Amino acid sequence: MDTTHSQMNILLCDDDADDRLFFKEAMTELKVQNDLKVFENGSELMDYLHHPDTLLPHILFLDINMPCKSGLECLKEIREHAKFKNLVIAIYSTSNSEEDIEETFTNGANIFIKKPSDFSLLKKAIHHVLNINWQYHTDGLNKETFFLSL
Amino acid sequence: MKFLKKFNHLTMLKIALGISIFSIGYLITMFYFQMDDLKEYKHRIVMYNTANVNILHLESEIERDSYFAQTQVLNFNLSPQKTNLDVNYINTFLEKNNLLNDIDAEVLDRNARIKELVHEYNNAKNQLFTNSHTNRAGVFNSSVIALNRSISNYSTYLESQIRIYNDNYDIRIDNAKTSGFLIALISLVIFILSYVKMNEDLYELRKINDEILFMNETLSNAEMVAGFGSWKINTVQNKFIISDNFYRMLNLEPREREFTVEEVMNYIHPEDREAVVKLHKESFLNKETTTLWYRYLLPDGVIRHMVSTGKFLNNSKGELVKIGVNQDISELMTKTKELEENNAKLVSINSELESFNNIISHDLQEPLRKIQMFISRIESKEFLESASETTVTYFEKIKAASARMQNLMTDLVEYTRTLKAGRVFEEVDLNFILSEIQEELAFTTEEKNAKITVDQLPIISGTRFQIQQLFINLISNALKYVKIGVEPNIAVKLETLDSDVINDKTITGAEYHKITITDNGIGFEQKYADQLFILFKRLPTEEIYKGTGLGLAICKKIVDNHKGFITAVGFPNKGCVFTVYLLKKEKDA
Repeated sequence: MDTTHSQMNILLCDDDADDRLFFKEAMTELKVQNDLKVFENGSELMDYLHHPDTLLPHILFLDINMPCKSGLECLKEIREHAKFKNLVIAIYSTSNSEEDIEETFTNGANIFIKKPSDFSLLKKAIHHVLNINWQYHTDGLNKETFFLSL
Repeated sequence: MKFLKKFNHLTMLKIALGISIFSIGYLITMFYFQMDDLKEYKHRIVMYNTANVNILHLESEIERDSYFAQTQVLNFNLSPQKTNLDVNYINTFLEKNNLLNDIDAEVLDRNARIKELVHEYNNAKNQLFTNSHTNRAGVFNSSVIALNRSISNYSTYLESQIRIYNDNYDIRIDNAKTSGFLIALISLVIFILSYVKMNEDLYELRKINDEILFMNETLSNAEMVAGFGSWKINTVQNKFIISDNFYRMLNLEPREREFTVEEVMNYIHPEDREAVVKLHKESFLNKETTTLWYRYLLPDGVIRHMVSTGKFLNNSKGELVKIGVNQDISELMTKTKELEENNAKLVSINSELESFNNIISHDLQEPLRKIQMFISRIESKEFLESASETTVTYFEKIKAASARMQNLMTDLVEYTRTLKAGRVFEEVDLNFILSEIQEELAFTTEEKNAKITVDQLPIISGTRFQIQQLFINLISNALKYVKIGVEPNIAVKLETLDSDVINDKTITGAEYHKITITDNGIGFEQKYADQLFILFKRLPTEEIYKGTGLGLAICKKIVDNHKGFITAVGFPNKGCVFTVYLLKKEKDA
């Protein structure tokens, strides 16, 4: 696909094995040559991010409902560190409750994707996120543009 | 008494009593002076009488002396020294009469005159004995006659005076008799009036007494009904006097025993006692009204919750008295506790409902979403091309069933969201809402070649997402329930409303907007109209129109939340009209 993004580091943190599978398959079908690292829970993710050898990723797809460390906790922790300030965080969750949207928005997430129930929509969502001009998107961010409607 | 009663008899009585007492005072004064006069007159009568006796005595002395002198002259026994009338003796008589001088000047004159005559008599008599007989005898005789006449006059005068004073005395005695009688009579009148007045007062007192008894009885009953008891502390006698119902509150028979303050304090629950005793003692320092909450612990272990209010007064003897009322609020406390428990239950039920809602909206949707994801994977990977026809049919059924389940769960979440109260109302422009909905439904509208006309609509006060949901559901239904081949024609109108009657309630245009949504769909039989809005109630429709049975229930709930009304009129195979009544904003009303 779009070769300008081919070297993007992408992270996915989701405790659900099926969803991780769908995500990988979608990435494969989109034929993006990105480096995708997958984590099964928040602790694993944070350990990786804090590791000194870690290359700073571009985009993180973060599930909210996870055991041990929830996505929201990870979000807050990441936003505390200045070095991650340019990391794009896309919330990727089953829930689309107003509370969750509100809370992730105020805590500095960049976009909110409700996990779709159709594979083609999933592909569409990933494609959309990877092709956003984040500088532009973040400047004009408000609650309406925050929630990605598919 | 009946005559008196016609007037203001109490005033009359008072006036009569006043007059009587004044008269009796006057009469008694009169009587006193009359008695004084009587005494004086009696004294005078005695004086005049004594004087008269003295004069008569003098007369007889002179008669005897003159007779003796005449006898001597006749017998030529001339020894005048022996026969001279003793002037000193006579003076003694007359001086006795001088006592009358103070009251009668006349007597003095007469006494002087007598003295003079006695002097002349003595001279005449002396000459009688010293000179020739014949001449002197004439002079002597005339002096005797003059003296006698003067004495006789004197006596007559005294007797007349005695008569005058006697008469006066009689008159005064009569007057005193009258006064005495009047005094007795008026005393009797005073006595009778006092008796009547006393009777009247007693009657009034008895009436007041009756009323007090009646009020006491009422109060006693009221205390029983309302569950309170009154008390009184006499600080001088250290007595704690309590009402009948107070005894009952302590599980005692009314007036079973007497209490001191300390004895009553012993009934207070040990945990509360110290504080109550302290506050009670403090209240005596500033004499302020106190209100206390505490418990009584009765000997049988029963706990009674009390509110006690006390204040200070002085009784007629000037003694300091603390009075108050205790109310038994045990029942209230129990009820409050029950209410609190019920409330807690409700809260927990509500939170259970909330978590149930979460289960539907999240936990149940999650596996369903996966199913649908796998369905879409199977579809995209072209597995079905090699599959048998039966497999394809079954697969389609799985797909339809999961789609239906998702609709159902989306609706259920919507429905439970409408149950949550406490949303803040805001201004909602229905025109904006309707244009948004039209945009949202544009795909279906174009697909079915539907025509939607919308009037100019008002701005109402409500919850935005609910109002949006309401009109989405109504318009989606109108688009959905049409015969195949028929182009949907939907009209949203703002009707003028005078007054409509819904569920026996009259709704007026002053309060409500009336908005109708008319379609040309399959309609329904009017007998089903009431069932439309019931949760999970579905009308008998053909297979292709299968809904969740929640859409209109959600509409009803939303309208209820906005204190509005929704009704439906159906015409089978022609269409139906849904009418929504929404409250006008206050400034519009």
